[in-house]
Amino acid sequence: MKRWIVSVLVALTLGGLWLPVFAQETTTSQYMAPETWPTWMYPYSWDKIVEIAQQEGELRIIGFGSPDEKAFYIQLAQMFEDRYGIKTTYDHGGWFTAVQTVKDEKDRGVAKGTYDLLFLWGKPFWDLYTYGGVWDAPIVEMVPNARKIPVYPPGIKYYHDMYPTYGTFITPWPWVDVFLYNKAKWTRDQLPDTLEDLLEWAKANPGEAAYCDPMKGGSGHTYMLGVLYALTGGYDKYAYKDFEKYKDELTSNWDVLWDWLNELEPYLYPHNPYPAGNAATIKLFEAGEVSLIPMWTTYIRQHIRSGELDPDIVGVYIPKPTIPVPFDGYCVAFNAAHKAAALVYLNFVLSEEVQRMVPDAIGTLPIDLEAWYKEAEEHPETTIDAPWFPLKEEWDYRTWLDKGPFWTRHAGVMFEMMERWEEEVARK
Amino acid sequence: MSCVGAGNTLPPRVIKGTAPMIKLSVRKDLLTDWLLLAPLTLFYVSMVIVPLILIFLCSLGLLPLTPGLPQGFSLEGYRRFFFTSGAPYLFSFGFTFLVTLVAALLATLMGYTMALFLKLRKPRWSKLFISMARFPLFVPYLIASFMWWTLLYPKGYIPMILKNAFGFFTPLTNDPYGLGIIICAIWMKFSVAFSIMHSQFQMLDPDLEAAARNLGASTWQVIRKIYFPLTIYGALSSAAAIFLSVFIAFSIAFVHGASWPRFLSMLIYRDAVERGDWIMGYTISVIYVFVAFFISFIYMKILTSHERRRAR
Repeated sequence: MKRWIVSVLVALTLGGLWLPVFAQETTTSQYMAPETWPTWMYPYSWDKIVEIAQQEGELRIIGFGSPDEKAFYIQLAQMFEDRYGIKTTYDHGGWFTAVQTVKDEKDRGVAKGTYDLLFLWGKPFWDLYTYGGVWDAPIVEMVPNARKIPVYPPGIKYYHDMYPTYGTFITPWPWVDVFLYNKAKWTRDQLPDTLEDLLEWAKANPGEAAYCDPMKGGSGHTYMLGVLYALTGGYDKYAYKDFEKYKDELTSNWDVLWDWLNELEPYLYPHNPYPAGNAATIKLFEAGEVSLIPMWTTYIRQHIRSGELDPDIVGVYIPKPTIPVPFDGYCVAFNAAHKAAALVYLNFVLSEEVQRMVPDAIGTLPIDLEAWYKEAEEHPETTIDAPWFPLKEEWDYRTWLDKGPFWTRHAGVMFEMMERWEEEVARK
Repeated sequence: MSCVGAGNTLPPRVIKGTAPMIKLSVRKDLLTDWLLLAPLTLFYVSMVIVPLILIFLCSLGLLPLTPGLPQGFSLEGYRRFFFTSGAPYLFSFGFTFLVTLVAALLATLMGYTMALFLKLRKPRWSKLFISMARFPLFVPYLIASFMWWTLLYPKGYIPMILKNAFGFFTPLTNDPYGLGIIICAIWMKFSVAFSIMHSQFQMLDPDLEAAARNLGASTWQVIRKIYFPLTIYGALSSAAAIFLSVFIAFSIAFVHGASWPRFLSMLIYRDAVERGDWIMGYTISVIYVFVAFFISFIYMKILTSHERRRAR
C-alpha cells in the first residue's frame, strides 16, 4: 500500500515537471492586430454599431467598488436594458476576478469570453493589456460621447494611472480624494493649506490627524503620492515617465519623503496612526477620535447617506497644490462576444443623463463637466453645495482641469512608494 | 477454532477444495475495497495532491501557471523569503506563528474550561448555553471581524468600559501586538474547542468519577487524575485544528492587523493580488503548507506515542 502511494506521488511529481512544456505554448503577450477588428467597424457608422449591438442582444459587465457604486452600476445596467432592449448583466466580482478570468480565457483560446466590459483601475488594466487581454481597438475614438472626455490634461483620455491606453480605455468619472475635517472643531483658515503643511499643523495639534494604511485603502496612498510629488521634485518630474527605465533617477531623493512621514508619525492619532482601510479611517472621524483625514468623496457621501456621518460636522477641501486623481474605467475584453453592445453601453454612461446622475448617486465628479454644471444649476444640494464636495467658493473644477495644477496618479511610482513605505515608515 | 491448526486431522481433499475459495474471496474483498475507496482517492489526488504539486512547481518557476514567474528553475522566491534585507517575510512569519499560537492556546483553554464547567455543574440552562457557545461557528469570518472591530476600536464598547471603569486605555485593535487578531480569533474559535471537549466529557464513564468520589477524591483531584488525562488528546486536537485555521486566516488579519507587523496571509494578498508578484505568493503558500504539515506531523507523533504507551 505504502509503495503504491509513493509510486503515485512520484508519477504525479514527474508528470508535473512536464507540464511547463505544454503550458508555455498557451501563454502569450501578443497584441491583437487591427486585421482582427470586426468588419462592422468600417466604414464608421454609429447607427450601424447600435444596430449590431441590438442584434448581439446581450452585454456582460464586471466591476468593483463600494456598495453604493454596486447599486449604481446595477441601476445603469437596468436602465440600459430598458433603453436599448439589450439584456445586460452586471457582476460585482472585482477587478482581480475580471483580469484572471480574461487571462485564463486567453490562455485557453476561448473565442467568446465570459465578460464583455471590464471595469478596472490602472495596474490591472496595464497588466491585462500587456497580456493581450484587452480589445486593442481605439474605442475612445469610436464612442461619440467620449468626445466629452477632456483631451487636456492628457492623463485622462489617453493614459490611465500614467500607463498609455492607446485609446482602448474609457473613463466615465474620476475619484476625488480630499481633506475631510470636522468643521465643528476647526474653521477652514485654521487648517493646513498645502499638502506639506500637514506636518506643522499636526505638531501644533497632535493626535488630530490620521491617514489610511496605504496598503489597505486608496485614500491613504493617493494622498501620500501627492506628498511625494510635492516634496521630491514636483509632478512634472514623474509625469508620463517610464518608471522602470528611470527608477534610480526618479527615486534617488525619496529619503526626503520618508523623513517627512517619520517626522509626522508621532503627531498622528496615537492609538492607530494608519487605520486599516478607508472605512476604518472615516469611522475614527465619525467617532470624534480624529478631526482631519484624507478621504474619498464617495465614502463621505455614502456615510452621510447611511446616517453614520453627521453632515453638520463635514468640511471638505483639497489642499494645495492638489491631490492626484485616479480615473478607473472600462475596457473591452479581447474575446468579448458583444463588442458593439459594449460600445453602445459606454456611450450610454457618458450620456448627459447618466453623467448628471453621478454626483448624487456615488458622490464623485462626472467626466463631462458640462453635465456637472447643468446639474449644479438644477440641484446644487447634490453637486456644488453637497457636503462631500469642496466648497464652491474655493474650488472651481473647470479651472482645475484647464489651468491646473491637475495631477493624476503614476501607478509605477505609487507601487514603489507603497512597497517602500512599509519598510521605511511602518516598520520604524 | 481453526480447522488447520496444529494437530488437526481434516482430510486433505477438504483443504485442497477450500484454499482457492479463500484466495478468491480475498481478491474480491480487495477489489471491493479499491472500488469503494476510488472516489475518495480520486478526490484526494485531484483536489489536494495535484494542486499542492502545482503550487510547489510554481514556487520554483517550473510551471508558468500565472504570468510574471521566472522562466525555468529558480529559487528566487525562497531567497527573498529568507534573505531579503530586514527579513520582512521571516518577521511576518514569526509574528503570525506567535499570534496564532497564543490565540489557539487561549481559545482551547476557554472551550475546555466551559465544557468542564458544564460537566461539573450540569446547570439547568446547559442546552441554551451549548447552543449559544456554538453560535460563532455560524457567523461568517468577515462579519465577525467587523463586529469585533466596532467593539474594540478606540470608541468601541470594550475600550470605553476599560477607560471609564478602570481609567485604563490601550489600543485593542490594529495594534502591533496582534491583540485584536487574538481576541477576535478566540471568539470565533473557542466554540470549536468547546464542541470537541463537550462531546469528550459526555463520553467519559461516570463510574470513574463515582468511584473516585467514593474514595474521597476532591473535585480538583477528579479533574487532575481523571478528566484531564482522559481528555488531553481531545484538547490537543482542538488546539491543532484552531491553530491551523487561524494561521491561514485572512479576514481577521485584514480587519484587525496593524500596518506592521503584518500577518503572512496579508503578504500573500499584497504580493500576488496587489503587485502581481506571483512567485512570492506561491512561495509563501508552500511555506504555509509546510508548516501545516509540520504541525500535523507533531500532532500525529504525540498521538502515536500515546497509543504506544497505552499498548504497553
